[in-house]
Amino acid sequence: MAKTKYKELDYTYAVARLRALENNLLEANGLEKLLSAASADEAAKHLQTIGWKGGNFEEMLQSELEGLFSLIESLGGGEFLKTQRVKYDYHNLKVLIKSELTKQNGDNLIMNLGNIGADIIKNAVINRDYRLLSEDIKSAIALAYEQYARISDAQAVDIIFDGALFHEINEYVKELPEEKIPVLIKMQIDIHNIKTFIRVRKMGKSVGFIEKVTAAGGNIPREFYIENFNAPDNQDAGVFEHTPYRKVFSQDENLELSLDNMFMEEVKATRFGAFGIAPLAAYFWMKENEIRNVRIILICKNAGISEEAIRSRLRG
Amino acid sequence: MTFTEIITNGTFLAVLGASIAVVFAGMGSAKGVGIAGEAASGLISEEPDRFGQALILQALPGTQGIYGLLIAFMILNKIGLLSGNIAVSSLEGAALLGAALPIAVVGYFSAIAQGRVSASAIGIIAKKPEELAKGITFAAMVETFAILALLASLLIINGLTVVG
Amino acid sequence: MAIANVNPTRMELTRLKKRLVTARRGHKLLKDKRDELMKQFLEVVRENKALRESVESRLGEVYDNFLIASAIMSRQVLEQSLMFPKYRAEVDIKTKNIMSVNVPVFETDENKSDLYSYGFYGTSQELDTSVNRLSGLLPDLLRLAEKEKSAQLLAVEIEKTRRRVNALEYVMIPQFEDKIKFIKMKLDENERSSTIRLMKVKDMMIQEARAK
Repeated sequence: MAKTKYKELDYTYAVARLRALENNLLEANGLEKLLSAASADEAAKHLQTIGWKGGNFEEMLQSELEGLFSLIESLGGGEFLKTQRVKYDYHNLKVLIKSELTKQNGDNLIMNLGNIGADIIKNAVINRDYRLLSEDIKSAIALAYEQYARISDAQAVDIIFDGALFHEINEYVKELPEEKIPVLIKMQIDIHNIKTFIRVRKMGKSVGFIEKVTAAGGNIPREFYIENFNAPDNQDAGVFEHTPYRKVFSQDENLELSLDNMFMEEVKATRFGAFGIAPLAAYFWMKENEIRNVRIILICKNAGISEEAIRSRLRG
Repeated sequence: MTFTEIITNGTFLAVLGASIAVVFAGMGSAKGVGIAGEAASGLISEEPDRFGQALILQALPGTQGIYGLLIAFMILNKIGLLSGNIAVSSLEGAALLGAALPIAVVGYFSAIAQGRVSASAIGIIAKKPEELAKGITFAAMVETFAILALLASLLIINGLTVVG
Repeated sequence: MAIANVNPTRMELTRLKKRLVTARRGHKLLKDKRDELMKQFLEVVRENKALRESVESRLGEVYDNFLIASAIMSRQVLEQSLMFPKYRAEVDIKTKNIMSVNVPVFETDENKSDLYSYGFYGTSQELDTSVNRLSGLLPDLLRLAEKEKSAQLLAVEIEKTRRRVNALEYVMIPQFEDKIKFIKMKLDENERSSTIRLMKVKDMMIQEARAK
């Protein structure tokens, strides 16, 4: 691929623009305003006054997410976005394969944010013509069908796709021209592995299982999880004693939340700096997190969950 | 005139000095203003009412170019190019070329560095417009070294006497 | 009234008396049945109430968990995760006889091996929790359905029995009694009138003899 050389000064415009846009991100104060709205509908109305578009919650969140992708793309963050689009490719694949296997129609679950257009991937899966898909995806689909034929287990199918997903992310990370983003993506992989480690232990699975579901490419090697899999229960903190993630185990909060918060802290530390692509990535993650927080508020508010309980679920 | 005669000619050396002062300081300023300008446009596309503040920050790296021009003028004045009777020996020409170097080299690099600081300072006013002064201060710190170079160039030129 | 078309004969009287005895016995038996059904019913209802309360509160918790999961994950990802369930439960419906009422009994046959039908990327632990709790709730949910249906069937049966008891107690038995009384009175009346008639005939015969 003929790539123009990465010059961090190429992003000066983008970074300054994002810096201005950062002001519009809903951080503690803005979220608090949403929380204190009388109802979910009031909160949605407030969002509309600050420029969110769409009739219902889902549309609003979806259009913000799509807007974020096209903004970062237009500012030259395409190389970085590839790493973030992968998850939508695999989400679409999972939807399509599961639709095929269960004869359901999952079209309304397809998200057109992947590296591969939703139509292309859909035609490929339905017509079993995988020429336009990447090698990773091709072999994952073959493996998934084979695995499903042997043990009809949707989880096994998902696990195969997750493995391919991380492989593909790691490939894209190698092509990234600078260092801060790979550090953050490695952290994301670690966080995924830690969450999985805890969850799998709770589910009472075997060591063989953890080997299949942890992803390569993090700072903590996969062997670590396999070795420590049989550590006594309630010893999670001890297992991670010598990793940078020690501190989340000492907190009394929900573990997933603490890990997400830790990631967001790291992202926020990266956003300063007026050049290069890292501030683009930081903005991307901050906005993504904002959308997640807004979703939490809207859905929980709609269900009448107390402000206090919602607040304790917000990230970052 | 042979090539050796040309490059040992006092007038040629002095004019060369004036040129590099303008060219390098100017190039640096152009780059610096360019960087800051890109950042400024990024900001303006979201916050058009901060144009004035952004413009101040964008203009800061432009001073090096002016210093370069100033030194060029002084050199040309010294050798009498502006008044018409050029009289300068090889040695004097070489000295004037030397005098141009501080502002040329320092001007070039400091303007780019200042452009980057200005771009970052535009990041400050994007978030907190009331902190413009601090951003200007950061950019002005870089200016110090351009001024020092200007001073050195000035002192050298002033100290030289051109008799021809 | 029904009494109007009763044949005031001795045969009818015996027949009615027999029916009255049967009705009384039937009434007693039905009353016993009703009481026993009531007892069973109350028991089922009590169990049902306790079960319903516990299921409802646990269902509420599951719902909360699920809500949080759906808030953390996007709708599309959540639905995708649950698109293809691998946990299967089969329910066999048998019946049990309580006081001649057939109530259903659900027997579940679950493959408990594995609940989670999704991978780990993009899914939340909150989803695990709600799926796990929901599956733990299934047996109780079925039991609740069983109890609820039993209570319903028992209530219908009680209603029916009570109607029969009342019919016997307030309609049939009094009617029989009235009829018997009426026949008795009618028979007595007949007897009296025939006595009078005899006396009259005797008088007439005496007068005739005197006249001769």
